[in-house]
Amino acid sequence: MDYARTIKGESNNYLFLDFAVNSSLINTCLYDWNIDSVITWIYYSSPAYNVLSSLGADFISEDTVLFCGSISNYSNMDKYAHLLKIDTASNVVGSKFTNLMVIMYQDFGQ
Amino acid sequence: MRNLIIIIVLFLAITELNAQNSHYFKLYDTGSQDVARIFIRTCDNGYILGGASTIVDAYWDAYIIKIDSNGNNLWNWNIGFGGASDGPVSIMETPDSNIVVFMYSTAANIKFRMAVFDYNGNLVFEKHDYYLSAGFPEFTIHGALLLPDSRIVTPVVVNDSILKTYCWNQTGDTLSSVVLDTCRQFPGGYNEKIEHVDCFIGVDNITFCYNNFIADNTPSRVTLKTDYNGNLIDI
Repeated sequence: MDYARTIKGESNNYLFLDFAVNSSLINTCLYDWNIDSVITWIYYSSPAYNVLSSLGADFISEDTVLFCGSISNYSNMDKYAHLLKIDTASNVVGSKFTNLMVIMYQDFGQ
Repeated sequence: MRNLIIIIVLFLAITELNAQNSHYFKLYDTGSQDVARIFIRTCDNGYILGGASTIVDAYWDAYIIKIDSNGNNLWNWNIGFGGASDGPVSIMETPDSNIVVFMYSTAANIKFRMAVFDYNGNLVFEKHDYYLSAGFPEFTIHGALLLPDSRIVTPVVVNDSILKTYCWNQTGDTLSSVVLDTCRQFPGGYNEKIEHVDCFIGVDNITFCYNNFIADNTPSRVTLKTDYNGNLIDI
């Protein structure tokens, strides 16, 4: 699956997500329409898991983004729901995953 | 084992939007394969959950569920065609509480579908069409926005290479269309695409973000703005 998408932030800021760059990395850049430039890049890699997805994201404050997706390891078929709060300086504010929602994984095509 | 895909998006939305004092975790399961894709909040503090299901046959069908603020299923519709895959691209609630669902479809001679439901889940109408745009048969819808004047704007990509917007009224009639961008061609014959189109509504403008090929054979994320009538706004 390809999760490339854009999230609108405050005023004229846009967060560009591109999961396809690397499945072990949440990789985004923050673009400012007013100056037509990328302000900063935001990265996250998990210290414990090597497969990350970001199904959705939203700004929960002007400088903090909440990502929602799944997290797993190559060697394990179990996937866990993953919530990640990260600020625009790439500092992790909070990261949670839960085995309450282990996905019985199937390849569902699209 | 039951064919079940857990709804992660649901978990996010409910956790964040309903975070005051009641958290819950619920599964919405047709008994077949199910996947959630779109989640919106409605004016009555309920939610519309849009996804796809294989409850009818082996092909994915668009499937929507209306749930109240406590997660109870109020109504649901399987709105797909048998024998072909389709799924929701965008769901919106109109000021009169109708629910408008835009869908892609792989059915023969159908590229686009629109279904409208009233507040109680009754199907108001369903429209599907196949657009031959500029002579090209390929037509993919990438979202929808409801404008303050009640028009609906949908970005579409024609033949993988032309970004257009179509403007609709709420009964599914096409009002206008305009080309916004085309995919660049480079020496060497790169056969690239315009992809991943997102759109956002502003006070008096619409922002479109998408992948296009500007300078070489790697995609760039392009952002452009138009007014509500499709006229480009310069930075």
